Amino acid sequence: MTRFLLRRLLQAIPTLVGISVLIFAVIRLAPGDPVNLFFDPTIKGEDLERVRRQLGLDRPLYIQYIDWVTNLARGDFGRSFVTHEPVLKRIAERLPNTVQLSLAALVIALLVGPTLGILAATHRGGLIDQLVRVLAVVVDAVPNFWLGLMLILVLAVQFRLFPSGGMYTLRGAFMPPLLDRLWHLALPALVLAAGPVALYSRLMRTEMLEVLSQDYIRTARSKGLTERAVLYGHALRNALLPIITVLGGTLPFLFGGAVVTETVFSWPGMGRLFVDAAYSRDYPMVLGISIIASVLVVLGQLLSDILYGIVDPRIRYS
Amino acid sequence: MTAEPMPQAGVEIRELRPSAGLSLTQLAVRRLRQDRLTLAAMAVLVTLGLLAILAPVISEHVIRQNPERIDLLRTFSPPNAENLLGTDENGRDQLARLLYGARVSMSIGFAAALINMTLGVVIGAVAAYYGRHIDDIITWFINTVRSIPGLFLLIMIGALFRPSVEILIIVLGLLSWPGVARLVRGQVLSVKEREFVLAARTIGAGDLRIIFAHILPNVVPLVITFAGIDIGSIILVESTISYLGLGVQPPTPSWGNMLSGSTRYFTQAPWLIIAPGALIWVTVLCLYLIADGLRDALDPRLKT
Repeated sequence: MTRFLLRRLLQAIPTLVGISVLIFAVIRLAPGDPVNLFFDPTIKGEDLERVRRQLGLDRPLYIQYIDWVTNLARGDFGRSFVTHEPVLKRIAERLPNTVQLSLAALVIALLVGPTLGILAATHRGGLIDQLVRVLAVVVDAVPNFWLGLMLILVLAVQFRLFPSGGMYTLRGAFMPPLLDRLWHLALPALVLAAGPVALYSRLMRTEMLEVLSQDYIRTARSKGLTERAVLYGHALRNALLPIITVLGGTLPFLFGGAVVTETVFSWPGMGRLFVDAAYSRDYPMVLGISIIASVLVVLGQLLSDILYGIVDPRIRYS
Repeated sequence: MTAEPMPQAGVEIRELRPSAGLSLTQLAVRRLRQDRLTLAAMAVLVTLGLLAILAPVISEHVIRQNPERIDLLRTFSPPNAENLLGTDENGRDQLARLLYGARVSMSIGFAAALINMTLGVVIGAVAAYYGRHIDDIITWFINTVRSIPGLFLLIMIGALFRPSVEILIIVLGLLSWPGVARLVRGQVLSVKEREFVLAARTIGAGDLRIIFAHILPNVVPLVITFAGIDIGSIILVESTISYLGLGVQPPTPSWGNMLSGSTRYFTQAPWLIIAPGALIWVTVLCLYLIADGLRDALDPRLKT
């Protein structure tokens, strides 16, 4: 197990290097001189040369890159152009809100998705099966932000059942804080969960059908177990495995989706911070959040691989 | 041998007979003809495509509205006889703008998909065919790009470059090929071990000839199937970053940027929120359904 962990950790390093190079390259490929782009668009001529020297922009690109990465590793993400606060501090303030939203979405997706998949598989070819499959395609095709807008339009503006955005009621909350938070969380979490629900239901259906055709299921049935025991005792355990493998892949989706969902629902998370930073061209902030989000994704993939190694010993030793 | 297995064999022959002598394409067309859902999706998509192509003619002669004419005395009019889908915050006709937006959103989807398909097929095939270090490097690169939440990179690029439609097509194409490449790589890995590839090599065919003449034709059904999903998801991504104001820049209308800032109109003009999103939804849904139908139609294991 230790060797498996170690190998997997080592494999994450080239990915992290690649990500940092790519993001660095995108910033440096942007048209115009970084000085004009990042600091003062009016600096020209000799002044420009001096500032470039001061900032180390006259040195070879690879040295600049190494400097940048060493600073990142030391936790120095620079300061926001707008608020002049350290980037990392701002991210640390907002990240918990994004994690809260993503976790809520993940819980919804893990409860609803596999359940729909199991229902579809056990009623193969029937009405429920058809409905689940249609639902999956329909949900896949809907633009996420528009789904959010429509939910706000119908449930918040027309029927006033839910708040149209934000994280808590500012004044005169009529619910205890926890309930108030859940009430605000409901719509954005539902929107963010839509994609994964479709994915998990589809995956679960295929996997369940595959597992149900295995010999050991026939054995379980023929020794007189109830259908319930066969389904939940034997089939479900094995059919759930692939869900664990795609958990890692769900993370980039959740973080990417959070950018949009947080913007639609004015949820004060990292995604909204990112979009606001992009509008105001706050580059240190944009860079910092991209890096943090990518690192979290890599860590998430690592975690899901390890989890998979624990539940399925065959993976560990291969 | 007893007579017993015979009926079974007879059944098999009867099952195979209708498809005997038909090419894969002929079989696919035959299956598609019976697939009403896919046919309906194709019809809707073709209609939308025609509306987009004919946008200038339709807006000038049929609905008689100029998508760019600003009329501040007619802002936020609800759908009426003159403006069938109402007007926006500048008094522009929404239907005319949707028609022109269709041209932008659809052409971005199709053009960017063409780029990422070409790149994905070539890179995926090269990685799988040559294997070893080339495969390692390409696989590493694919995994790296897939680890960055795509939207973050796009928003970053959108903020830095304020892209024109052409640049946006190139960027979307360049960022989305790893998915195609991964798919093609898997397929080529299994095809390249087949006997006909060995046969081609024994009669002296070169690498390029083997890749393009012998291996890639086997990847075509997979690529065709994936195209619908690919175009659909690019349209979704484009609409998202345009909604955020970092994709297609106004005044050029795209379905996505027609929705940016729409949160301000919830009570005032809900039709401005419903229509563009519904069009994106229907278009992408049709593309996904067609992809689904084509996958079933092109599956060589199904024989009816």
